[in-house]
Amino acid sequence: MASPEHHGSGPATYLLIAVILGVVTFIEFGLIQFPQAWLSSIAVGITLITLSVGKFVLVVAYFMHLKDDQNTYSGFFSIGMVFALGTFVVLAILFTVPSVVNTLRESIKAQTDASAGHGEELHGLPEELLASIESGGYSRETSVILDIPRPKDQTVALTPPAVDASPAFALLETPPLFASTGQSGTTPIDDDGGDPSAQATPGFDAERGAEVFGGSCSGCHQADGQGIPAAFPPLAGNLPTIFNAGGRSYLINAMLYGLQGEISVLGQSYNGVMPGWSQLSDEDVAAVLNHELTSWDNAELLEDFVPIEAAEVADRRDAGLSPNDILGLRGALDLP
Amino acid sequence: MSSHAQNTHSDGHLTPQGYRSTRLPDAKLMMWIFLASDCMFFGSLIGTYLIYKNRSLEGPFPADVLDIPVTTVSSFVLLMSSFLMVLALHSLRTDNIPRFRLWTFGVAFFGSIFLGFQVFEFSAFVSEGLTIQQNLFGTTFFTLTGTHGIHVTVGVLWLLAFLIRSFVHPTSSKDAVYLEVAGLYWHFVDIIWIVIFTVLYLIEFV
Repeated sequence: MASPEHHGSGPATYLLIAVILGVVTFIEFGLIQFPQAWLSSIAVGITLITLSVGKFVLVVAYFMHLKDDQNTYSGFFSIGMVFALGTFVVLAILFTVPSVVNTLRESIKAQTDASAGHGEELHGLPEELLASIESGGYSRETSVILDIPRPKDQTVALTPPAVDASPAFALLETPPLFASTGQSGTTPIDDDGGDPSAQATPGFDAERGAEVFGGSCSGCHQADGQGIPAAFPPLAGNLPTIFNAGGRSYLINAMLYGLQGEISVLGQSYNGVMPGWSQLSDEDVAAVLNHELTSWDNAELLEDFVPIEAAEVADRRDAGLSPNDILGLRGALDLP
Repeated sequence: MSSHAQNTHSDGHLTPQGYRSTRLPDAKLMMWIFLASDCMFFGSLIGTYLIYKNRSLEGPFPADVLDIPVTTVSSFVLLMSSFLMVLALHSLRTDNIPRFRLWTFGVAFFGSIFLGFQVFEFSAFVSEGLTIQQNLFGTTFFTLTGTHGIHVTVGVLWLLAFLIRSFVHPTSSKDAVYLEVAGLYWHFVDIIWIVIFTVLYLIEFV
C-alpha cells in the first residue's frame, strides 16, 4: 500500500507528458501567431479549446496521479468541477436576460404604437421592471450604442448577450436617429406630438426625452435618476443645482463629450467615467436633458428654466473637448 | 467505546500521517476537497471575465495590451515547473534526497520566474494605461490573474519552506505524502493557468 511506485508512472512517463505539454503549448502559440488562411477562426477556436482541455486532462491524470489513484479523490474533484461549470453556465444564462428584456421592450413599443395615446399606461410597470433588470449590469446597452471598436468578434459561445441585444435595440433607436439627421427641418415623431395628453410640459418633446433616457442613461443613473452610491452620481436633485449655477452649456458639453475624474455630488464623492454621447442627434440630446431637468421633482428646484434647444447642442458640436476638459468646466461652475 | 477503539485498531490505518477509516491520508483528501472548492472560485472569476468581455467603454482593450509571445514563454515555464514537481516527488519517494532538493528548488525557481513575468506584464499594462479601475477589462483581468498570482506565490513559499525544513529535520520517503499534497496544489495552479492562457489570451486573437 505504501509502496511509492504503485501508481505505475515513472520519470519516463513524466518526461513524455512534459514534452507533449510543451509541444501543445507551442502549437497553440503558432495557431495564433501565424494564422493560416485555410483555417476559419471558428476552427482555430475549437482547436485551441480542445488542446487546452487535453493539457488539463494530462496534468490531472498523470502529474496529479488521478488516473491511478483512489476514486474518492476523483469524486471530490469532479464535484468541484461540476459546480464550477454549473456556476459558469448559470452566469451565462443570467446575462442572456437582456436579450429577453429587449424583446419585451420591442413588444411594448409595438403595443404603444398600435394604441397611440394610451402609451403611458402601458409603459408604467413593465418599463420599471425592465429598468430594474437592466440595472443589474453596467453599460450593457451603452456598449452597443457606442459602437465601440471591438478588438475581436466574440467566438466563445458563452458571451452572446451584446450581440443578441443589438437587433432589438436597433429597431427602437435607429429610426428616430435617421429621421432627425436626414431631415432636420421636420419633427421626426409627429404623430406623438399631435396627442395633447402626452405633452405634460410644453416646449420640448418629453416622450422622446424619456425614451432616450431609458435607452442610454438609466443603465448607470437608474430609472429613478438616483444613480448608484459611490459609482454613478444621481441626476435627481443634482442637475437643477448645476443648471442654476449657470451650467446650461456645461450640461450640453458633458452630454456630448463625457466626464472623467473625481467629482463631489450632494456630499458624496465619485471617481469614474461617463462616456460622451455625441452619436445622439441634437434633438435627442436636448430632449433627454430637458427630460432629466424636469423629472423626479427636479422641475421644482429649477430657476428661470427655458428648455434647451437642439440648436444650442449643434453650436457645441465642434468644440472638440475631452472628458478631462469637462471636469475643468465643472470646477469653474459656482457649485455649493 | 471499546469496540470503537478496536475497530480503529483493526483498520490499522491510524498512523502518524493521519490515516483514518477512509484509509486515505487526511492531508491529501483535505487538499483534494480544497481544490474542488478552488475550482468553483476560479470558475466564477473566469465566468465573470467572460461576461464582461467586450463591455469596456474605454481602452485599453485586451487586444491592445495582451502579449502572446511573452505569455507563451511564461506558460511554458509554469508547465515545466509541474514536470519538475513530479520529479521531486519521485525522488523523495525513492529517498534520493539530493535530487529531491534540486527538483524542489527548481519548481520554486520556475514559479518565481513565472511571477517575474507577471510583475513585468502588470507593470507594462499599467504604463499603457490599464489599471484595475480603468475599465471592466482591467477590473476582471487583474482580479483573475492577480488571484492566480497569489496562488503561485503561496505555492513557491510552501515549497521553499519544505526545502528548508529538509535541512533542519531529517526528511525521507515517509514524508512523501506531504510533498504530494504540496504538489497537488502546485499542479492545480498550473491547470488553472492552462485555462486562463487559452480563454483570456489565445481566444482574444482568434
